[in-house]
Amino acid sequence: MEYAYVALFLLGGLAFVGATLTLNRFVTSPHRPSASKLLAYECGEPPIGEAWVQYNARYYLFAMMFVLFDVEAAFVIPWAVGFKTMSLDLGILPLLEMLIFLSLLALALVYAWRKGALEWV
Amino acid sequence: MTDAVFFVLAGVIVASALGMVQARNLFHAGLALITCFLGVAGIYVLLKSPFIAALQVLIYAGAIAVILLFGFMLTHHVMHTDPHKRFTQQAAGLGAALAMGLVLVVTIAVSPWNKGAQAVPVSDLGSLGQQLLTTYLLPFELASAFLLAALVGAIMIARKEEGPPPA
Amino acid sequence: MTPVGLQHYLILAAVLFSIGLYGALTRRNAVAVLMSLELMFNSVNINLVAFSHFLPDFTGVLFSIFVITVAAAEVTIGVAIVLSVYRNRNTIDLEQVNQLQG
Repeated sequence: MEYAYVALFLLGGLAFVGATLTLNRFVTSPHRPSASKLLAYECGEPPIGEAWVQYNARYYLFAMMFVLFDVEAAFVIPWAVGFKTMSLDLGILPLLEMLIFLSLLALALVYAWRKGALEWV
Repeated sequence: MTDAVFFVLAGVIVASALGMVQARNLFHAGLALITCFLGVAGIYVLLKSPFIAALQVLIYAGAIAVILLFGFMLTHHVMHTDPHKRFTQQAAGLGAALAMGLVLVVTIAVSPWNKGAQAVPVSDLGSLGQQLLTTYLLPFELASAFLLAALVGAIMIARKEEGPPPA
Repeated sequence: MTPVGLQHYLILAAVLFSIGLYGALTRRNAVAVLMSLELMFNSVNINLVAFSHFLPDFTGVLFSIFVITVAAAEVTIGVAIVLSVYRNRNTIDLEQVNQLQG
């Protein structure tokens, strides 16, 4: 039941959101919508198009790098936790194995860098 | 208590998965997908695998959901809806999925599973790492080569072919 | 009611897999199909971790780490292909990307 904390946080978060939204109804001014009030900017400037625009494909390369190194963490964490006991049995071997692993991933970073995937042009 | 949590989580997972496949608006589908991933993370916690639960939140609900949301933000005007397939295809898909589900559920229900051994928690993170670097060393190293290949391939595919790359 | 055991987890995974299959077969948008594939990956992972928990033997947990890795790489490549198709065809509606159809 050590996860009761997590559930507590979940309930706390939901309660906070619910309470804030409910409070909002009582504190703010009455809701009487009109066409000009419902504009995204109530300053007389009519908005052009929608807020949902197509994003630049360049962002994708960064998202991709993020995924790669996110997955890398999945392998490094158990290695780091078990490193002490492993080194007693296997000596320097775990370190070397992880270095091979990391150097291959570093190669991916180098490739992306050389290809200009990290440049913002 | 744990059983109640399981059923709540199962309800959340199934409901959000159904919401995902049904939602016409792809952004809503993405949000339902993230809810589903978080529910599955809860299932892993129930199965006493907190590390896999953390990976589920980090990689699925974090990275993979981000990539998928990027995928349609880059290719789609998000508020436009995804049109239905033709009715015959809908029906065929539904039939295939129902048949698959029926076969699986019946097989699971009638098979004699070993109900005796209740789990002794064996998977502390350290011994997991140890297994990874001893018994499963080859898949472990291959995983990094695989990720390298995936990144190189994705960059090759995703980059615009316009002139020589900047030196 | 029987206490929650291996079968409950397996049935949950089977239901999730079928929902994913339905989505993969019926969605028209390529990204939505990728999303449905992720649902199916998730159900496989639930199976692996559940077996690992109830056997008990943590090979399943290890294997699920590899499945997550493959899923991440798959989705990266998948979305890259979708982007590439979109650039060339200006649509990712799978009904209209049918030039390879015999």
